[in-house]
Amino acid sequence: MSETVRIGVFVCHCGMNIAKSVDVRAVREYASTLPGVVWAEDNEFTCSESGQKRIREAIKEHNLNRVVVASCSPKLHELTFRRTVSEAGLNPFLFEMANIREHCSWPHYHQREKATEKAKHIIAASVERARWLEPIGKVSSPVKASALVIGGGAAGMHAALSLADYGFDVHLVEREPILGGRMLQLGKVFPTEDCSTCMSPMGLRQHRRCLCNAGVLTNPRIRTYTSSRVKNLEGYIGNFKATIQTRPVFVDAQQCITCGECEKVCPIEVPNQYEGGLRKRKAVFLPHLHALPYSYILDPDSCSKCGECVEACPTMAISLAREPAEANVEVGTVVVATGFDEYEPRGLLGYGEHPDVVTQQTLASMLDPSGPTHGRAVRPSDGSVAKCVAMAQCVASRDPKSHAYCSKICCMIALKHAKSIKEREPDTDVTVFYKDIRLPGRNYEDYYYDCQRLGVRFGWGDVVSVTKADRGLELTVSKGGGGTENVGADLVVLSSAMVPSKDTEELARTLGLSLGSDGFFAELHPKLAPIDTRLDGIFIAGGCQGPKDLAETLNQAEGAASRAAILMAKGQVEMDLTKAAVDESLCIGCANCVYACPYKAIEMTSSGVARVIEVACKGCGICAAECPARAMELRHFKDQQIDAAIDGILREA
Amino acid sequence: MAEFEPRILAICCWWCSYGAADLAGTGKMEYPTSVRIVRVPCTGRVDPLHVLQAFQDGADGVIVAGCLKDGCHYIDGNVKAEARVLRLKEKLKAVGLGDERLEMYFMSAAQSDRFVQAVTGFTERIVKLGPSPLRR
Repeated sequence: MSETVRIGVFVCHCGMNIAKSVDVRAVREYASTLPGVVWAEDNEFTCSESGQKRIREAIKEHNLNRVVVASCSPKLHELTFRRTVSEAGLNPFLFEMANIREHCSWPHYHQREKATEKAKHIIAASVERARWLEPIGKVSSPVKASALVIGGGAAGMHAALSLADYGFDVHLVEREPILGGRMLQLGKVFPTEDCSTCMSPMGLRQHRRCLCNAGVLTNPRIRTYTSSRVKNLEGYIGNFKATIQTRPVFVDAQQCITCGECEKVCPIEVPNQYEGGLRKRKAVFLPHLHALPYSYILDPDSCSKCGECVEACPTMAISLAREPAEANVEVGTVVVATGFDEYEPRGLLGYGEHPDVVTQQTLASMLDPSGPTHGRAVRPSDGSVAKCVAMAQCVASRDPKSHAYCSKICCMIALKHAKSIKEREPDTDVTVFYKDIRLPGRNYEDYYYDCQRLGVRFGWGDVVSVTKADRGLELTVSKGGGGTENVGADLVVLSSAMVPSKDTEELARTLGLSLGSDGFFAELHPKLAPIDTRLDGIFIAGGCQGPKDLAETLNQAEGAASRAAILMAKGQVEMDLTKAAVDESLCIGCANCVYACPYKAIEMTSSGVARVIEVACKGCGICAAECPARAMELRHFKDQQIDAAIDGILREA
Repeated sequence: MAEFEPRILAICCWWCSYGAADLAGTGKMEYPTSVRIVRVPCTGRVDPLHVLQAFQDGADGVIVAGCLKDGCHYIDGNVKAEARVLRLKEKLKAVGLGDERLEMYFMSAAQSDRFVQAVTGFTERIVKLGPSPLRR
């Protein structure tokens, strides 16, 4: 310490919150005796403007170069007071807070004498620590003006289009051979009941557009990688390097004229996964009427490599010898939008056992007018139109044994489907068995009234089993209190849980993101940072963060695009240097810190010592504790600073 | 003889256990006044030398409190801290201080009840053990 430390201590009454159980004046008097303290006072509310003014005045009057405020938790007002001291010309990190409210006056409110003693310990810790505080500067780093969007469903396409509108280049990566994600399989979507394929990214500025005309593929700023995945991501905010791996694409979308000659000669037939398996497809097929890119695709898993299609193709678009490809891209920000899957309820309520037990997603394919059954709910066992449909809600949702959470959108999906069936086939019986009907969105409750008006029946109860009966299927419904009821149906539709899409865990590892206990990507804060993640510069949008309907998904996608665009528009990030630093003269080159760092923020230089990449460092200090030579320090939490706080807090007052 | 009043240091991580202690305060949940909290960004920052410093300064017991096992704000700082705490406990045993005067706890920022249980239970344990041999 080159300069003499001059500490000012400000003890807050916080009205009666602190003063009731802590003798504030005794604490102030004690503080004034501590080494280095040249000024101590107590204030009614230190955080008020008058309290802050006193701090600024005292800094000038007493030439203070350290400030300690003893009041509430630093989680509340640390930033407030850092700003206060910097307004008086001090570096904001020459400020220290003593938490004598949350950690003292409140939990010990019955023990005034002991609480007062404890408050003295807490202040002594802050004063000791303040003696060793050092000014902290800032570091800035450029942000590349391009983004990586992972997932080409509703959220990813919307985010990509918005980012392109903002003027940034976008690399859009989609796992499937076509864009559209889960949205392609929804048929009509609530609450406007348009085809889901028309609901793709639009926004007011673009008006409504078909998915096939959404502009993602034609936008010069968006480069799309279908049949692809992000194999690796390195770097940090503003400067990410991604490796995109593309599976072999056997049909060249640029050359395919969708004549269908290949499909005619293909000898293989398997169920079409894009239509709920209701219709057969060939190994080479057009995956969707609105496929983007609009091209036939070849499924290597079912292909027998007979080569008939190669011969039949008039434009020579097909080759069975294509290799996987890899691309390396550099981006400033990342948006993760990998969506959700419908949980496959195998073994539950006869699913997988009776063909006429299906999920809502299969029913959505049936009700899609351009789908495999041309908009009619049919029994897969014989293809006949269902006359009596029963729906079971909360299958594998709201059940601690499988998924404890509410999947949120299944009530609306069930009602949308029930309404569609009754509108098209008024004589068909539709009953929804439910525990609770949850329709909290705007205009969503109307569906309930519409369904009642159309004659959809609502049966309160939990469907506990579905068995084969003489005619069709029989459901056993538990009505609570031990009572059950048996109901017949010829088509049973399960509203199964929404779960994270299948590669979520692997992607979380690749990106370094964390998942919630429900398996969805974890946001940084549920209210204050619902789109941010633990890694700066990486944002999440849509169903990958939890069950959401399309409106919420597009909202969040717009939010993620906006969060990313803010960073890229600024062009650089500035952050406090509360980060690790190496004393090169002490470093022994063991590289323990390199292995311990969770953020790949430390590298070895050519001269064999560690170097911290400051923008990537998150300030955890793990490296400092791992360093055997004590060459690594975390600024603002240096060994000396932590030891000083420990000395202070354990000292007898 | 008045009941022995231990000096207990709780080293709390900023993201979880510090917040849990805040929440315990907000909820006026009572726990022994002998518990004194020092903040670190992550329990992964805790060097065994800091713990030894605390015993040297007269602590009768030291708690290291971090985020839940799969909920560390810095991915796995708490797991690294746990490994260090377990190694250090062995050493404390070897030098005669005993391995019961140091303990690691895991909690989320919302688990004020867990914080109160941890510090209350640990304090009871230390009261039974009596003052640290370094203070006698």
